[in-house]
Amino acid sequence: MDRFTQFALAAALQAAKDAKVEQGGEDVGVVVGSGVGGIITLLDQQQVLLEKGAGRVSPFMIPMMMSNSAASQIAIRFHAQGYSSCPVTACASSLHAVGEAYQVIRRGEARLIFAGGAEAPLVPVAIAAFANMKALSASKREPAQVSRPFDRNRDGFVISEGAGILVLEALESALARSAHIYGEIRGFAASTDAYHVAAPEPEGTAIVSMIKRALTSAGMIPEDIDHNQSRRTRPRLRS
Amino acid sequence: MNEQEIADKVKALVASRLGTPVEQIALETRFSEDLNADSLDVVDLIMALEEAFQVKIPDNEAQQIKTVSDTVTFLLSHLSQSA
Repeated sequence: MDRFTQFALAAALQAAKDAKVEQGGEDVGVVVGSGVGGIITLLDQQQVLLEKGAGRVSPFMIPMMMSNSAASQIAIRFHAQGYSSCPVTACASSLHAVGEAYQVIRRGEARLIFAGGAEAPLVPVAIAAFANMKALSASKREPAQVSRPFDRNRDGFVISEGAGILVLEALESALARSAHIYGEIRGFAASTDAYHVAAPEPEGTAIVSMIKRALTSAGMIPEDIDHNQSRRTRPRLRS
Repeated sequence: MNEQEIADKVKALVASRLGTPVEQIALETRFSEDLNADSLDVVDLIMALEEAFQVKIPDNEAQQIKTVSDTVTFLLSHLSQSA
């Protein structure tokens, strides 16, 4: 297993234990996204190809590097034979996975879904590429102080690795087995601003429309919102 | 390298590639039936054998190698040829 899949499987096992889920089945699915998937495996095998020739490239390379291998391994581990998918939408992959899983459950196509994302991109070529995009912080602060996404003086993000997996479940299913319910997903919407490969569109029109659709989907009005969780990795844009 | 040394090295390699304790691997152990190796595991094992013994195992010969004993027989004939 590639390192990102190991993170995903470990997180899924923790989530299953917490949610007291032991078995999969035809109505259990997996939606686990990843931005790049098994880049460590790909680079390792590229090195094997260059140093030892085509005959030494591992027959396990494809099933290890493909971005949906995390979803695949979780499905195998839990014998989850329902809906399985892998959103690949950069930094939005895992949230996208949660939204997709929510929609699948809502359509009645699954009772329970392992949803989230995993990434293990700490290889020199990826770090160099992000650095050359000027996306990484070059801060001289103490390491624990470098990641400051909402600071006016932010200067980039800190690349990392890991996985996060939620157990999403139809409400009736959770109530029927007296599951500990952490929260309820009321609605979901997604958009893209179709503007630039990396920079957000300054007016935010697509985001505004997406927020409106999310509220409609949840049957809510803006006054109902008491907390907004955002993510930000971008440094301040210089144009 | 004599037959016993070859067999021990093959067993150790099979154990590490297929995740089986080496003491459970005998000469007659079959990779697929006894150790649940799938076709990818077998390709991986053959590649590891080629690397460890510095031999080339052609696909048509690899298909005949199903047990530790088959492997040792192949290696004995091949290693003695090249010696």
